[in-house]
Amino acid sequence: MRIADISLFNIFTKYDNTRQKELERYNLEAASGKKILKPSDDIVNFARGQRYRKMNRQLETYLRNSTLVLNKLDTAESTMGTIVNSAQAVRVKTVQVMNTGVITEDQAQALKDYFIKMKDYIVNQANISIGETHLFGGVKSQTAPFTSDGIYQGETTETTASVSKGVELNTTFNGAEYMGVNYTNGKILIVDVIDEIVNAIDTGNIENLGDLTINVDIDNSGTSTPMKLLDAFDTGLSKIMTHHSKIGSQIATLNDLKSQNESLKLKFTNLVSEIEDADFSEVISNLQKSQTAYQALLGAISGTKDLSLLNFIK
Amino acid sequence: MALLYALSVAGQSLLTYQSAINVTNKNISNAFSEGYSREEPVIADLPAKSGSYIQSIRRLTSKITFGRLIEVNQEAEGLNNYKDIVTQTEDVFNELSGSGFGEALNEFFASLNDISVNPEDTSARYEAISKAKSVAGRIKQSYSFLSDIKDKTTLGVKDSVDNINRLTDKLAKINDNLKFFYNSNPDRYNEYLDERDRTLKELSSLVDTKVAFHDDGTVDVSTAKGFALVLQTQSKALSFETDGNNNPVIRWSGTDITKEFKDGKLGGYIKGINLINDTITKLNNFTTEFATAINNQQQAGFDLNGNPGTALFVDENGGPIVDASNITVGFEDPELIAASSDATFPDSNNENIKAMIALEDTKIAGLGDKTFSEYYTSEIVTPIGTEANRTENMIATTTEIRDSLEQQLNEISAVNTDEEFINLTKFQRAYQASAKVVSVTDELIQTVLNMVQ
Repeated sequence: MRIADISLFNIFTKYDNTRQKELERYNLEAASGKKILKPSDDIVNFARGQRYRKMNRQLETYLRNSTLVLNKLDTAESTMGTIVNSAQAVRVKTVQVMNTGVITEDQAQALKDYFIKMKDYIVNQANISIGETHLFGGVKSQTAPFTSDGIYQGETTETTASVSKGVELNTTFNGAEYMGVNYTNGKILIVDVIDEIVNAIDTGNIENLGDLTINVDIDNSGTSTPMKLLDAFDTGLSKIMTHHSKIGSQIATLNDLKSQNESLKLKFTNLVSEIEDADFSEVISNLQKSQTAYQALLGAISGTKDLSLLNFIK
Repeated sequence: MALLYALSVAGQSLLTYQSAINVTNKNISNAFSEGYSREEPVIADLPAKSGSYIQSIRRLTSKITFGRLIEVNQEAEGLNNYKDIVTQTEDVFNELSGSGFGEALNEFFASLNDISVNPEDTSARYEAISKAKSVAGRIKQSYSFLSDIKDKTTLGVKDSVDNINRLTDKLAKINDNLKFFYNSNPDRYNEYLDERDRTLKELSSLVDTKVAFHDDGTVDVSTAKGFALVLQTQSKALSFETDGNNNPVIRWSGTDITKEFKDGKLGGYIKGINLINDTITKLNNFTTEFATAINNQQQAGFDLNGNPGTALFVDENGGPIVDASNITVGFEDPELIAASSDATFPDSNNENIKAMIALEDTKIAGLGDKTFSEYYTSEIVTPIGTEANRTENMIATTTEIRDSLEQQLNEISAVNTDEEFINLTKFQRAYQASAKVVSVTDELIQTVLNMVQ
């Protein structure tokens, strides 16, 4: 086998190019921290990485939505808690009044003031808003859902937002249901009862408070049923408490989903990292191997290039 | 034998070895000339004890290895040039380095989510408009890059055709010279054979051809499918033009033979243009389906003012079809995003924007029942990546074979200077010996002449 001079240099050129390519690749990996620098480096893992990245983006969105929805749910839950507490105080006072019987005019005025203030407080709480969004007006969230008399003027349709795949939670609430509206007149039932008590105080009929009735349609069945005031109050309060619990349950669900989404996001981030990120110890080891091979090649070139019979011909 | 005859034989020998030294000199001079085939003087003895002469100057090469090298070179050059285009195309959609529009698409849908939570929030709407512009801008930029690569490649095809015509014309002239110097001047003949082989190799890097060698060293060259490019001393020029879509059209005597080219730079370019066209078609398809789906949903809802929604993505030229070349955002006013499905509650109802968000995971019939991001990844980016990977592997194999064939050919044809120095020494010694014979004969003649005095 003959070895032509040009072949030696061709071999040097070829392997010099090969080693430099290797060095460039490992330097790029070390500098960028990535082992996949373009799709063709590993097309299957590139596609996987893209899918995980999309899932991560969706999870980020869900988490952002969760924070916003949680703010609304927390506010709604706290508001309803306040309304429940207020209503329970009103109930205690009502029972006291019923048990007291005859009262003086000053006592009557004080009671009336108390009930009116509590009513206003409850209605104000039911009109709670975050920014310009009223939570208990359903989709009609830009105006106060209840009039000062406690009559519902919101919508029954609620708005929701996605907090996880296939899971939507309320961002506004149907105030008619959550506040226990008496569909007979559209007024919050406990407010309706307070109005009846105030009316009884005004008409001096307070000793008959226990016998007074009110027409109630709490389920929007279209049929009103006469109920004693305290029973009606309890019915209204019970409905508010039920929905209060429902919001509590939504908060619990949301917190659960949030931690699940956070955990999934971490998992996908790790997966993307495993797929795309360089293993530095491996890269550095490869880089050093390439450097050694390159040095060996340069040594071989240096040692061979001057060998010629010419050196010995006189 | 007469002394003067001996002088004549020695003189003939001196001329022979001087010529042999010239051949060695030529070999040493061309030790690093690409495509040079070394020559070997064939020294034979003249009949009737009349000394030595150079019977022929043998050009050392292998027609079989060279023929194989030509074929592999066509394939290697075709793959290399195709790879260049694939790599450029891959760079357009290299999400890992920040190009492409996959991430922009994800961010666009994510921005719609913020509106779904707060439909009345103008800042969320501004963000969505910004992301919509980003998607449209990146799609259009991808299209623009692809078109640019295609335009430059088409120009490359034109240059290649010009080069092919130049080389076939040159080959026809070389054939003419080979015929002329065949049997008349072996030295010049060998030089033309070298030039012929260099030209064939250069031609093989441009186009896939079939070469027929004749006994006198001339060659006929045709395309792989048999369209003659060189017939003896005649060459046939190819013509270049472009169609309405700036696709190259190569004609041979008026016949469109563009699809005939598979290898060589020309074949690589044409394959590359096909890949770009295919990618542009998919990109346009994606864009049209994406714009249509978003626009349909937008038009099904109501904007913040309670008016029916208008198209979010439009043709910047006002045409009816939105594609990658013309996509732009139809409005700047964030209030025009139709988030609501109820005109009565445009600032709080979020049903329409949720339906728009749901499009992200909806399988679109026009995209082969794939979601937008899946179509982008698996139909646009993945085929390019796969093609780049496949081509890279094929280049590695083909280049290795080409290097090996070149090595084999060099073993036969290329110059080894040590070998030439040995030959030089050998011819020098022979020349010195012949010179000594002249000197001795001269002395003998002098002796004879002195005897006469």
